[in-house]
Amino acid sequence: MIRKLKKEDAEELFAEIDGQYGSKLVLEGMFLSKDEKRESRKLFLYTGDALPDVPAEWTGIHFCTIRDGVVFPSIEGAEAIGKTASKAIELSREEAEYIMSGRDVVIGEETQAGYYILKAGDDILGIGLVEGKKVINQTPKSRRTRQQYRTI
Amino acid sequence: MGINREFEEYHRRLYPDYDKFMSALRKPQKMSIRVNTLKSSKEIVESFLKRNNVPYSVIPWCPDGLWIDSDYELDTAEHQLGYYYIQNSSSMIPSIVLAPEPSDRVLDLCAAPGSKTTHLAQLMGNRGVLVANEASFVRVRALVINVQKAGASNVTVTRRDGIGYEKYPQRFDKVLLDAPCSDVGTARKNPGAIDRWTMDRVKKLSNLQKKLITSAYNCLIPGGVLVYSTCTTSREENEDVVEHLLDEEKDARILDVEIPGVKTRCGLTEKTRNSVRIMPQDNDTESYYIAKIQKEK
Repeated sequence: MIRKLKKEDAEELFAEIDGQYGSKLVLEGMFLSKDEKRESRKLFLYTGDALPDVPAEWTGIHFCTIRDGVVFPSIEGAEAIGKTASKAIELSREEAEYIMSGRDVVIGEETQAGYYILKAGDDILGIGLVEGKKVINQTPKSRRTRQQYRTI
Repeated sequence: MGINREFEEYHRRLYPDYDKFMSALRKPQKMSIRVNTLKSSKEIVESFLKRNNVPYSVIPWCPDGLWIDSDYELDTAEHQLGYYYIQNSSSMIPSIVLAPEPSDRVLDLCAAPGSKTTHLAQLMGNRGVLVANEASFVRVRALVINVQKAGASNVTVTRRDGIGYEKYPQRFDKVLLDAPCSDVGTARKNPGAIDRWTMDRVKKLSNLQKKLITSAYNCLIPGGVLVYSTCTTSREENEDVVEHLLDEEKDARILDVEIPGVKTRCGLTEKTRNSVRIMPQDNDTESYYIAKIQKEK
């Protein structure tokens, strides 16, 4: 069952994203919520002019999953959030390719644990889970490159 | 490539320049990509290619299309981030012919894996209404992944049989039917398509395509436009399907297909002369067939 998010629910979502990632989100389109009674619910962003009168299997793009009050953006959700996010980690080109191949990366500095937006220059790669000096990969299997990289 | 006698006899009758056709089909396919302007730009992708010393050239009929003139591995981070879509150059044509506007309601009736759906979303600037339908459960998954990767946020995916799709209330300004077919045009990438070709299979596909094109047409509003396309060669899957529609629906009019930059041949019958065949030996592409039909107001 898909439900269109009310304005106040969308504002609550934006506030949560700001709290977690330090991002003032400005977005056009409507948010749709799915699986609300499950432990984690998915939010979709739809920018079409209207919802078509068809039996939908999937609408728009998966923007984020919310689980226990925590927002887990998809890569596309991170691309929107990451433009202004302060809670972000800058990776090198090589580290970025490593992340996109599904591997973890060791970064130079000890960082507060938690989920961060991952960036490499102008590219936003999604999110990573930081523990100490390690960025634990969160790239979905369907979005990983086939290329194999040496350990870094 | 082994010799399929039935295929050869049929196609020698179809094409006076059969030997040139087969010679072109035996050449490895040229790799090509389409810049996804929903997430990136031609400048950014060209800069990425130059940085990696990948020679490329612009595809004449698709401003966002680039031929890759090497065997560079295209499954990169940029690809997985959706900056470009790996797509055959002739498969970029049907969406261009359909020419959707940002305010249109568009249906892609046999959409998986999503190259044309994502191209349509790009041409519409993620506005309007774009419905992508696919009957197969397995193929819907690939379609959803590609829609997501492209950031095509104006797309609604349905998983229904394309035949009878007109039973749903939604009507469309434009419909694309890139029909399941015998895939001869893909032989440069999949030589097995020629081995698997039989007249019996062609006739079964033709019956399916006739039902699909009728459903696709019935989803149009008056004045709406349907583009029918296949990547195959048989008259039974191309001109005969279009003629079936023109005979059945008296308010259907076949329109001219104009594709700047592409050398085309006209449809094989009098009624379908305005449709086009794109031959591998003429454009160094796959084989394609495209017809454009309008429902009178």
